[in-house]
Amino acid sequence: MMELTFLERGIIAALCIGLIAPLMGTLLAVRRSSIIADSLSHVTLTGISAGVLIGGTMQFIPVHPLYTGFAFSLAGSLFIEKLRQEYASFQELAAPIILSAGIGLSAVFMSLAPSGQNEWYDYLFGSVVSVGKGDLLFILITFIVSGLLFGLFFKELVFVSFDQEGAAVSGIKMKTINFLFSFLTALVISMSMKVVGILLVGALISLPAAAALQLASSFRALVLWSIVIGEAAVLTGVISSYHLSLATGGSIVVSAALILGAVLAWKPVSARIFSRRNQL
Amino acid sequence: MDDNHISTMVNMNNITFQRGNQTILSSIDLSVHKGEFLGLVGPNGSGKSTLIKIMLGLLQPDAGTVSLFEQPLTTFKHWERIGYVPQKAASVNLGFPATVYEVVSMGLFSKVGLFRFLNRHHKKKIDETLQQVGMLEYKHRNIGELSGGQQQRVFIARALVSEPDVLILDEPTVGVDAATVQRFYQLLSRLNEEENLTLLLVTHDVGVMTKYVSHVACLQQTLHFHGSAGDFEESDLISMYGENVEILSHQHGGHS
Ligand SMILES: Nc1ncnc2c1ncn2[C@@H]1O[C@H](COP(=O)(O)OP(=O)(O)OP(=O)(O)O)[C@@H](O)[C@H]1O
Ligand SMILES: [Mg+2]
Repeated sequence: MMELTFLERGIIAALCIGLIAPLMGTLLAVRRSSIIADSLSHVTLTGISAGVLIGGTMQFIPVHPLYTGFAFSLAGSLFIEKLRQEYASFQELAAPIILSAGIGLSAVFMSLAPSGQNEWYDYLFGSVVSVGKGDLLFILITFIVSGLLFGLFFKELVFVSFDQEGAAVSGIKMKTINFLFSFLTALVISMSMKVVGILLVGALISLPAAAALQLASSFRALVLWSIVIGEAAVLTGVISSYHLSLATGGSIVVSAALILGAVLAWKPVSARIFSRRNQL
Repeated sequence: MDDNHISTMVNMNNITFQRGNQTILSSIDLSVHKGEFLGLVGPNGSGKSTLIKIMLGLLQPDAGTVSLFEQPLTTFKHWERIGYVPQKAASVNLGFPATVYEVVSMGLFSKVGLFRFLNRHHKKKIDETLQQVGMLEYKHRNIGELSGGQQQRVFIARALVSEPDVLILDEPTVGVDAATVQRFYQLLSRLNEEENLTLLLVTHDVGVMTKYVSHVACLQQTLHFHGSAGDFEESDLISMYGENVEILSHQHGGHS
């Protein structure tokens, strides 16, 4: 990879995340399972902490925390999916348990690791200046893999989110698509860790979709609006956090929340303008 | 698949289904042959929807086997040949911001394949199907903003758009106004006669249904009657629903 400045690396990473996270968010929103992203992000933190601990104490093992994070995230999402299938109502119970167990374990791992405390803060709230070459490589790989999977299976993912039974009767392999959902959620969360942080990745996934839901009357428009809003939030967030030295995840999510607020405020105003125009 | 040899579109053999220790269906044998228009009736809770879900592999029976197009359900792959309109579109997420066009296009996904998009031919087919159910002018409307009956028509279009050989409808006319119900039955019997579409219709409007269908099956845990519409008597219904059932106008018309 060419020599890039911190900011350039951060912006490339952010652009990747700003596209994929809101895209995932549209599907999770229509599936009404945005909570899963939150629980999974905590499991991912456990994996990252385990990676930091192993890397700090056993330096002969070359692990990168983002990869262990992804492994934990994938295991967690498969576990949640299994619970969801077998105990439909157990989901509300399982998510908070996984969430708190995940954060507890990662706190233990991090306090054992030599460099734990400082790194933990970066992973909690995100930090664009901490995106190293290895991190950027991980983000690019996950971006390409998730982009390909979305491209290949988007129709199926949409159909399953809209109507499970209808999708099954049209011959879509439900097991494959449900696994794909878990896999993609795990990918998206672990790719967002460095920039947005564990505590805020759920917000980056759900806020753009929430704002887009106010604007879109077709699914196509929902996807496009989510991505536009996601990229706008991510770019303003990264640039302002760099220049004002703020936690990156924080400024990204604040930007996304401001956009959502603006959309909510604009909606009644625009409705009034357009209805008046129609009356004339 | 070589069509001409296949005459049994659906075959259910000795199906039993239980929930907990309640027996919902016991020892059901039911087959639907090519070109039939079968009306399936029975009181609320008699297991009609359950039977259909077993037929489509959405529920697993405790005993018995299902085959579609003379292939065991487990190896059946030609799902584009089957259209299904679920009862009240129960599994559908109507908070989903999809247009009527987008919903109907889902019916073509199994034909379109990975990565590829709908082509001009598909788009034309969607328009034609929307025209058939009288919903073309709502093409760009959001599905959540339609009335219940209009939504139902959209789901019928979604089932029809892939030009299936068998169409399975679970109470498709609930919440649909009388004039539309009439037109809807006319559409079904035209598809049945002109395109040789095989139909399985679950319904409570016995009076209207018997004018159009070729065969009737009455379900109440077991099959109480299964035969041609002409042999179907009011007494078959009374034995199942009880004495005070209101039997509606009961002329058999057309074919069979
Ligand atoms: N999800 C479920 N959980 C438990 N029991 C169920 C479930 N769905 C259906 N049942 C039971 O199974 C039986 C058959 O239900 P089914 O939906 O097949 O009836 P139906 O003939 O379609 O009725 P309707 O005319 O009201 O649509 C009923 O006794 C019902 O209580
Ligand atoms: Mg039913």
